[in-house]
Amino acid sequence: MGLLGMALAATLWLSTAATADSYHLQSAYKAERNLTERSESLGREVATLETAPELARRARELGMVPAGDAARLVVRPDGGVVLIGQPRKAVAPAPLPVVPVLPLVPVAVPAQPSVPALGPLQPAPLQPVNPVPPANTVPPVNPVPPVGPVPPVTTAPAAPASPAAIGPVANPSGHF
Amino acid sequence: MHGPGRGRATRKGAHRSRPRSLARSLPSRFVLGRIVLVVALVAAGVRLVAVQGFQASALAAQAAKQRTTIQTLPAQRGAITDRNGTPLAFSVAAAALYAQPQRIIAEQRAIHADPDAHKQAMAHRVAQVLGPAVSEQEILAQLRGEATTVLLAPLVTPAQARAIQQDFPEISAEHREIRQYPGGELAANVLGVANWRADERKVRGLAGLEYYDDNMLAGQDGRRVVDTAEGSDAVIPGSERAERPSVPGSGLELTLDSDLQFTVAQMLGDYARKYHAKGASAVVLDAHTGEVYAMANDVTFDPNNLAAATPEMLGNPAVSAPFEPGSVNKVLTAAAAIESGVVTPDTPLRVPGELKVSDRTVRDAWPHGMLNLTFTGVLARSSNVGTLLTAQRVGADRFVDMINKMGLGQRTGVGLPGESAGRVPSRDQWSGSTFANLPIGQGLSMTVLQMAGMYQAIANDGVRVPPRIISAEIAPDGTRTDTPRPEGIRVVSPQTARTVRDMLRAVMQNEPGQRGTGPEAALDGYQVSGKTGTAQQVNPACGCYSNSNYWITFAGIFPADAPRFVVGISLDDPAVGSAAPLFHQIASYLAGHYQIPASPRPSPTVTLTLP
Repeated sequence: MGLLGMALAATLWLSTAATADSYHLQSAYKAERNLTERSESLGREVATLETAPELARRARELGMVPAGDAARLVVRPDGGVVLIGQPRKAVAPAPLPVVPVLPLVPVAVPAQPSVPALGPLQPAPLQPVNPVPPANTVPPVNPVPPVGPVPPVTTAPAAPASPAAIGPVANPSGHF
Repeated sequence: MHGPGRGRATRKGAHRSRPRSLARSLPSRFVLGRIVLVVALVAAGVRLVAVQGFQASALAAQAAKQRTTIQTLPAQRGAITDRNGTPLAFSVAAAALYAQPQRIIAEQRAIHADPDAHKQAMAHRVAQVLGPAVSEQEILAQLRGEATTVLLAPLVTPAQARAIQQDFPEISAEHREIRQYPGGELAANVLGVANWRADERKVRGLAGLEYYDDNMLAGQDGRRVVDTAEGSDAVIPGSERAERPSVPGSGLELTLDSDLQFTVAQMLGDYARKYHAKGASAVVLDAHTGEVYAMANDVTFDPNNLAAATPEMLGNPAVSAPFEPGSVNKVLTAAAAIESGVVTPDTPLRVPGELKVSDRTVRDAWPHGMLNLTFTGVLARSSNVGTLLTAQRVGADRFVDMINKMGLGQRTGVGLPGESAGRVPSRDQWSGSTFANLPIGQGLSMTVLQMAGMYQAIANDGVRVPPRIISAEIAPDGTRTDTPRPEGIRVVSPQTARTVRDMLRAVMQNEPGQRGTGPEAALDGYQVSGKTGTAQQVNPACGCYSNSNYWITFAGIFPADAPRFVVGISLDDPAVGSAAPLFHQIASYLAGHYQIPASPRPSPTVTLTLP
């Protein structure tokens, strides 16, 4: 009798505990799911903010401009420092003018035309060379570049280091 | 032990107390009872046989249909990253919200509530959760409409869907997947785009790598069978019978460097717009492994906004649009000539103003009489006549051999869809003047990737490694499988490759009277090898070469003394005669971004034109 009673009590207690735990479990699952979703959405945000285009956009907003050709200081084995290139202030690239309709531009005579004075050797032009692509669809095209207004950029804040301040400069002309 | 005895005693007592009249009518009542029972039994038996024997399968199927539901377990699509692990494309789970206005009306009427008030509350809650992206009025109008099922919101986050469903369980949420491209236009021509397909209930690739490697990226949807309460989606607990778990798709790691990719695309786009080019492509390859570090076109699209893209924008001209390379192709003659020993860099060549080959007359870009050029001078000043004279010394056989070894006329197998092999006329189709055209880069075509590939062979001491853009496949469990590297092809000896590389430095030379064709490409502190090119385009109207439309090309090795990168550029009919300034910009960025040490000494000045 006593054994039976104890067993009954134990069963009761265990099932109560199991039920209570299942509630805990459920709320833990829920919390986990919410946190996973939150981490996913944050990761998404980070991924977007980290991309090169976004960084470049933010940098432009802060007034930064892409550095042009950098000048380099090369340390020689004897300890001397040689300046290579001309340190120049980075300047904002001029905003591109709105591109006019195309054929108006007179084609400058190419500076280095290796153009043969030959007629075509193949009467058939080379254009449709594109063999059956495994899949795609897109034939070679000459698309018109999209006319995107380039946001104007303001100033170039970075002041270049003065070459004179850097010690022995062996070759100030910088010409290589 | 006591129970049965007591029962018997009771029944005996009952028998004894029955009246006599009842006992007499017992037999007839028994008969009646038996008949009723037997009839009922027979009826039940007949029905049993009918149901179990004849209608069993039909009824079972009907029953199963009522409660068994097959659920698809969506497989997560693999992500695409660049070589540094920066995500370029990845998937996130989402949900689409649906409502059934007619059912809402029926349910509300059943509990004697006002259906319209309920709809208003529903629209308000949906708009509240989803924020300003949706309009409460529009949702309400949809709910008041006649349609059986209306789509309230195509893409919401799972959390938003749950918040709405908590208040309005009659709104159903269906699984969706959004493909995200955090970089927008970044490498879009390479990645392509994948979008949700309503018919397949899955994200599928539409262009680019997303299309080409769709099977690998997509993974395999799983399936499970559950029992649901009739007429609702509520799953009966414990009834899940998992038949097949889903297999997530594998990810791809590309060889692209997104910083370089962005910068090259930017520079190329600016240059093309500045000079009104009809098209422009550029690639940057690793000089030794042939890995594609950047591949850009001037026209691209934003895969996050597919509606704004035209089919042309989705292509990747860098691999699909071949062009005639012009003088960039002179590297073939140079490599074959040095390899076979018919000339050395200093060999003096007497170059006349024009050269008659078969029925054609070839001239140089600048008029001149008899000139004394070194072979280096022929390349640096890009003399057509001098190149053809050398090609004749090399001979057609060795030249064709070089074309094949350089991979022209063959697809590179870079791993992108729509790749063109370019076109090289086969030897039996040659006319008398073909050999006057090929060495100067006319009469054959190649993609910008193939063009860069030729210079990669020269940069890599004569071994051409076919370019690749996928560096590894990342399994769902994170295991990384490197894509096998293609076998290198020995094109020329290391000595020849070095000699050609050194000769091509003279193209950047800028000395009075000894000027190359591309000094704008030079970068202070570094030796640069490269070749400018200009090719006449074919005028489709007459099938002849145009005298006003040109391909402007450039291929370069940076730095020339310890090659790290190969850059190929092609511009479609720009209002400028050279792409060398663009190469300079790219090389300048490469030097800084990859911290490439300066060359120990500048390129030596060499004699191009002899007195």
